Amino acid sequence: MLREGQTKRLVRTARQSAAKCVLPWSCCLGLLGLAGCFKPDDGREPPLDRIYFPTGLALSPDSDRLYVANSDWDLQFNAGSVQVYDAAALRELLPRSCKDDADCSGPNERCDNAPAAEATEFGISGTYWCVDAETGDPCRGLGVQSPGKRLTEPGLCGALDNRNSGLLLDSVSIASFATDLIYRPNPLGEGGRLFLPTRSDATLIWIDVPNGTSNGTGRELECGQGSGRKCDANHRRGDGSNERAPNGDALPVEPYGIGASADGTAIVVSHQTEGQVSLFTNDWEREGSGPELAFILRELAPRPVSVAAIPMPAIAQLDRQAGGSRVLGYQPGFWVTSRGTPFVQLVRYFDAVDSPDGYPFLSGAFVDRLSTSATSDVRGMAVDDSRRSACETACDPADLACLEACAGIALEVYLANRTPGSILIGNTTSVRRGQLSNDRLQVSNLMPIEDGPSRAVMGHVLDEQGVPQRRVFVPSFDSSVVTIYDPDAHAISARVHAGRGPTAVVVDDAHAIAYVSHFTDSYVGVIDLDTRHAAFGTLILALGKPTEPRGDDN
Amino acid sequence: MPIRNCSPAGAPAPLYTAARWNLARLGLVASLATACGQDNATAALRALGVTGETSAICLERDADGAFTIGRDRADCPDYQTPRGAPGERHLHLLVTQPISGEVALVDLGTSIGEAVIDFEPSQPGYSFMPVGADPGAIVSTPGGMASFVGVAETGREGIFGLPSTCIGSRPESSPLRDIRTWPACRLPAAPGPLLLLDDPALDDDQDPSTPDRVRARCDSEYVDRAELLGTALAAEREVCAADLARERPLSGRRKLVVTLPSLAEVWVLDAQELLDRTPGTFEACAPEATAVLGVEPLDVAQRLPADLVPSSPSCAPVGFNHGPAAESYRAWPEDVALDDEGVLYVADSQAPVIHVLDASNPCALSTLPSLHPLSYSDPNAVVTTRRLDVSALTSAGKRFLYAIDNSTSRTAGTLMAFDVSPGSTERTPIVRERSPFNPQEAPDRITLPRDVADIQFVTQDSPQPNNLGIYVEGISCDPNPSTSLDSVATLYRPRADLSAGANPGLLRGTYALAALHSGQLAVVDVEDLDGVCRRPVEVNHDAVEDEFGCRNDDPSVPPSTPTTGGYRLLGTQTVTNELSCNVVAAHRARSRGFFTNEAGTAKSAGLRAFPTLTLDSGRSVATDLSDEGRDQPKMLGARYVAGERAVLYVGPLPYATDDQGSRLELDPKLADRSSLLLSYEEPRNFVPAEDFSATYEGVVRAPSRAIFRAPTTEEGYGIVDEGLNASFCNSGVQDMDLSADVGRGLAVPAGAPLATFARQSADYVQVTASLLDEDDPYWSSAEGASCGSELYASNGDNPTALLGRPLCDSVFGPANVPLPFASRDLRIVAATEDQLLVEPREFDPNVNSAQRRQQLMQFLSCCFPGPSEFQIRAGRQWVMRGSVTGVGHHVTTDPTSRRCVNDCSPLVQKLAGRAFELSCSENCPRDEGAPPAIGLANPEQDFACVVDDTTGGIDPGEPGSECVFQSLTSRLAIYRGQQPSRRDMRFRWQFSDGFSPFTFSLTSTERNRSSPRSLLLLPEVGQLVVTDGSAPGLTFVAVSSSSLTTTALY
Repeated sequence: MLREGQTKRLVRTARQSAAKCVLPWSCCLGLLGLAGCFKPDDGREPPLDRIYFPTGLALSPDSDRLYVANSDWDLQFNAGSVQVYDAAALRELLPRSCKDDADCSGPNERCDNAPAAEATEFGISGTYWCVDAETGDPCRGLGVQSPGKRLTEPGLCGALDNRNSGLLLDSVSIASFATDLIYRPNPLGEGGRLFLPTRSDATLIWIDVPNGTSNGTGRELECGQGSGRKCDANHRRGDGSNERAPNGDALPVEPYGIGASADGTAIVVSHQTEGQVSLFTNDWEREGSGPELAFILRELAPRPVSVAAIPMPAIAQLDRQAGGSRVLGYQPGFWVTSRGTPFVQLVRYFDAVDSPDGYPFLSGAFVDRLSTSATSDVRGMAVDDSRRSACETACDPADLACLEACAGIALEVYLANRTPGSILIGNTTSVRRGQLSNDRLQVSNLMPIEDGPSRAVMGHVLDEQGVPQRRVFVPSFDSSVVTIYDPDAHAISARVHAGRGPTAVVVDDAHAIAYVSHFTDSYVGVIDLDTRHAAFGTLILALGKPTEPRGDDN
Repeated sequence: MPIRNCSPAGAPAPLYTAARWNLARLGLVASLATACGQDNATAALRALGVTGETSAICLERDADGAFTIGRDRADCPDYQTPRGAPGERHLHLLVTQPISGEVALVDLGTSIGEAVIDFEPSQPGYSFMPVGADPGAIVSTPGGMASFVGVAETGREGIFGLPSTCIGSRPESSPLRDIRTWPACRLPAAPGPLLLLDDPALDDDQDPSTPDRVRARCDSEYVDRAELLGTALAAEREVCAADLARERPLSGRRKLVVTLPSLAEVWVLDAQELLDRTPGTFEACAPEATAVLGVEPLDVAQRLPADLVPSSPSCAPVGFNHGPAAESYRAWPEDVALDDEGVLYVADSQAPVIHVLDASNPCALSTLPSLHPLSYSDPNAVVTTRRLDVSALTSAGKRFLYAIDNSTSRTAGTLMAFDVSPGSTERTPIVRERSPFNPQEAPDRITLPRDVADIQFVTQDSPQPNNLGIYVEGISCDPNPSTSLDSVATLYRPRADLSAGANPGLLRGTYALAALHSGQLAVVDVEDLDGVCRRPVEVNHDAVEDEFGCRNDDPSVPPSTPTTGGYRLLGTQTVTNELSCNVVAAHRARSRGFFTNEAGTAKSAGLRAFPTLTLDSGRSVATDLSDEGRDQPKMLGARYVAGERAVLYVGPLPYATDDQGSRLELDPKLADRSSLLLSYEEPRNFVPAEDFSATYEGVVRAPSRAIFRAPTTEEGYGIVDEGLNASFCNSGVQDMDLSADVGRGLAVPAGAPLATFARQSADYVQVTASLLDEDDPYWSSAEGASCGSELYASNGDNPTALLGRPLCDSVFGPANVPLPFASRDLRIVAATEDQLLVEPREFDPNVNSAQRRQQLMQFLSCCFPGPSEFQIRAGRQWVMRGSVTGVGHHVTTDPTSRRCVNDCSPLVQKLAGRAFELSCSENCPRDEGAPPAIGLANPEQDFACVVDDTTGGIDPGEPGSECVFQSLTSRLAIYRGQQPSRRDMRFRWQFSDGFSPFTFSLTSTERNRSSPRSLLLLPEVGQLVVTDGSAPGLTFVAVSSSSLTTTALY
């Protein structure tokens, strides 16, 4: 068990080691130059309007807010930040696709559908975007990038200034080295909560967000920030002397991956150097209290990285809802993968009701081997429960037999495997003759992709008929590619030429676009996901001026 | 397509000639000449990226020296034309480059430095034919005039035609070539697999002297073939011309069969019509015929071999729950394979069916009865497929289709074999005979070390000349010593030193090569023409299988003795003298090496050393004839046949029961060391160097965590609750009912003896958790502080005055310190798959009340409030555990009650993991004043395995033989020592080696990772081409060499 002082020492070690390039994305070293890393700054406040080594993205449920976690990876500043953008306004600035002039309804617009050979003064044509009829400028003032520039900063047009007041709604500063960002809506009311593991101070940060619009305070992010817009200590979990699990355990160092139950009540964080995962419980009814450290599960594989919550069958949700009978014995699960270890660890969450002593905890369950690949380094997992959900939706909610049958439908699971670059394809299966899946995972297929995948998320593209079709999105940090994989065809739908160091992807299914954070050059790209568009599978907008590491401040 | 090799003169020639010729031209002979084992050679060239699909094409050098003229595949490789001269023919590969959206051309007839063709020399580096993003399947016409590639680029799905006149390096005088160089057509959806078929010519006048007539389109009139020559638009082009009417061989009109997976359709396009399209245009493709792939309902059941027919319906697998079966499936063609009779098989990744089409006339594709991929072990599973291949006819006239299981069940990634022989009516996966000997592998699945990415059949031979000098293919090795040596079949026999003839590396016959996702290739036996020569020298004419897996041997082969008879001719063996008659088995993994203990070879199936015994303390002890040795239990081999000689290899030496020098003693009175005997019915059970242990009251199931719940009623039992993690029956847990079943099998008298036996022998839970730390808040809570109060509720007297943690500590103690009493042991009264009902193992229902049981369990539950570690041990018996194979058992879950019950499925009856030790009755002979040979039975506790005599060991049929342990590999008996056996006493041993599947790596030092995508056989050169999604370039595997050497080109 760590004592308090020991924790602090380890925290300092983590910060120092981070400065020595112990990176989750090891190739950053190469990208940032061989001269080594940079010394931490003496305490300059981060420019909160700047996208800076972004590592996490999240969307609000209505897709109108885009949240960006900036890691301050090179320690040029004394903190990272979280920003919220008006995604609705951003969408208005995206180029609109067209086939002919009739598709362009704006005043004095036409469709840029001239053959590509007929270059305009902008050196480009045939973009099939609506353009000003007079200027024909497909980039609407952002400037057409040179072909050479597009190699490292893909996209036809220049970047959009993210500091535009109509876009950047709010920002707060947090500790450096946020590794991820997830959003969970508040099931009891409006708005939701952001959760970020941060490595520098080894904490979990939580930020409340209102429902789309400001909550009367004019603020989009609530983390106790004062005039300096720095999140207060109450919104950090894990570094306070009184922030211990009920059994006295303190939060281990190096929080990295994060997963949360769909209702946001259970949050699991991996600790990448400790062989441990921590459990936070998040009681929505205790407004403003935030998550609480509940338990540390030890003796896992040495380097856990990715955590994914396992979607719960509807019948289990019924069984476990408030006042539910809890006769099924189903405990929610999380999958944890580890670097260099070809196994997936199933971890079960026992809430206060299931726990014999009333204290929530995690319990290690099955360990399933990843036998498909010779080497495994899984950095992200996407879980698709759409088939099971469709079955459950078709059931009468009171028809338990129907729901029970649906619970047996396998979940499809896609794992982003770093070496060799591949998507490992698996599903849940059961070795039991029981009624509920026991969340065992088997992987039996593989799709090679470019090197260095870092995440995997589910989303949709629109097909030729405008019908959403499910896809898996995998950013490959090392290769500057976002792979869009079609699980039905077992084929790559598109390889999106992204900028350097794509880390996180979030898909806006409602508007057929995806956002991708570019770690190395510190900006966010927007990908067109409508296959009817000529620009499908390309970056159509860059939010924030791409800046090379340690480049000029903007 | 079988691999046959012909010399330049056309006369049959020994194998490898063609391969060597071609490889010599690739400059790779040096790397392969050292081929004694796997040898990976790597070229220094780096041009190709990762690769997708390939097709092969034969091209002829034109007058300008460029390879632009398509030729019949049979014309390559070219052994006659001088190098560089017009008319020279080279085999080429077209290789898709998925990431760059290109197709590369590789010349297999030139030096390796020049093999990859630079499509556009004016650009720096290598460039290839641009065709659009995500090029998928690619096919080439048999006459080499053109190739076609499917492109799945979103929004630009289509087929591109690549005339052979333009696929080479662009001449300086020619205009630049780009994607607009190719004729193409647009498809409504992404294309899947492609195929080129012939619309057959028509001999409508039945006059052999007149040429057959052909038709330009499926719906047009038949005309003389000459009328179509040179009339196509593409035939007239100045550049990139293509006239398929001039192709040779040509029996009709080339049709391109295109699958459209998302539409579940198959389109038939006229290949020439596509080539005739104006390059640079992308108009819609014009199908001449279409077929919609439907899904037939399942109307057949798997045919079971006799040894798997269940004795009752309840003994058949019931399957797991995979959710509601969809009422209708949508077909999704994923792969195709065509047999040489024009039958097209289509793998389906969404529907549980393999479509079968009569494709003899592509203009009129017709549906044949589908194949149904099923699962023996999981009948409810929805089994789909993703890749398949169909074999050529074997020498026995059989044809097989292999498909990769794409299901969500546990067999995903394995192979299914279908019998699609002419006349076969089988439509479900073959369920192999002798599967009970190999229960770790599903009876209807071929399980390889990793999941399968693609599959390719290879049929090849290395014919020997008969006495007339004629080379005849398909001759099986004949080991019968009475066969005349004039017979060519005797030429295939192995040499006495195994240096030639039948051997694991010689692939003579039909095999399947499976590319594994892990970057390996594995070999599966289908029909090994030398298989009958790979067996023991000894014969078994009986119909009953012996321990070597032999039976019904040829009666004309003389009976064998240890030195004469059997498969010997003049003292020389005519077979490999491997240990089993089942080393080669159809549709099972091939062995990497000989499975033999022959002198001079590695010992495949012996022990590294004699078994050793350790006490519960971990100290090693002797089991010799000393007083201390006699105190210990003895583990000894037990004969298969009474009185027969038995042999065990230990290290390099054989020990035999009749050998005075290296004696294997099976009599416990005389044996001074432990032993066992091995059985070789199924060599695949011998996991190389597997460690084994036999542990008294050993662990049946690995440690886990559970919540110990107290009984809610006085009549109830404690509950071990693992939630969804539980799989007790699957782990072979035996509760009291199952123990009673075992007792009945051992003839334990009914009534009190049987009840006592069941209580003593039932598995038990051992709580291995530590108590919560002293400063844990739980102990200060009301519940924790009062732990134990219930124990004294009835008598009101707590003699220790302890409660809470101190009392828990005094009763249960630290986890790692053995207590003199078994307070941490809980007998499993009843087991279900989900939970265990337990009571303290010391609890005796004849003495204690049910209320006391409830109190004790409440106390335990209070002391261990959270999930706590535990393990399950067997009661008063020895547990046999393999480090890889685990503890064998045949316990399953009753689908109705969910209780753990005996599985009566024939598949698992040979699994065994427990042994009761033998003890002596008072009648055992003994020397005066001396104890009997083994320990005495306790009449109050021992109701089984009590014998009156152990002289010579326990032979079959003797009293006590029911207690001999027989697993799939080992046979032994454990005899009680003069002192009682104690928990965690352990015998240990290790196999010397074992059966290794024939796999080899596709990686090398420079290409250190591999994700193979697809396989393409080049029978002309005896090479298999492997495309790779991780490693750049191609890997060539010389399948006709005896060592399957690999060569990389990138």
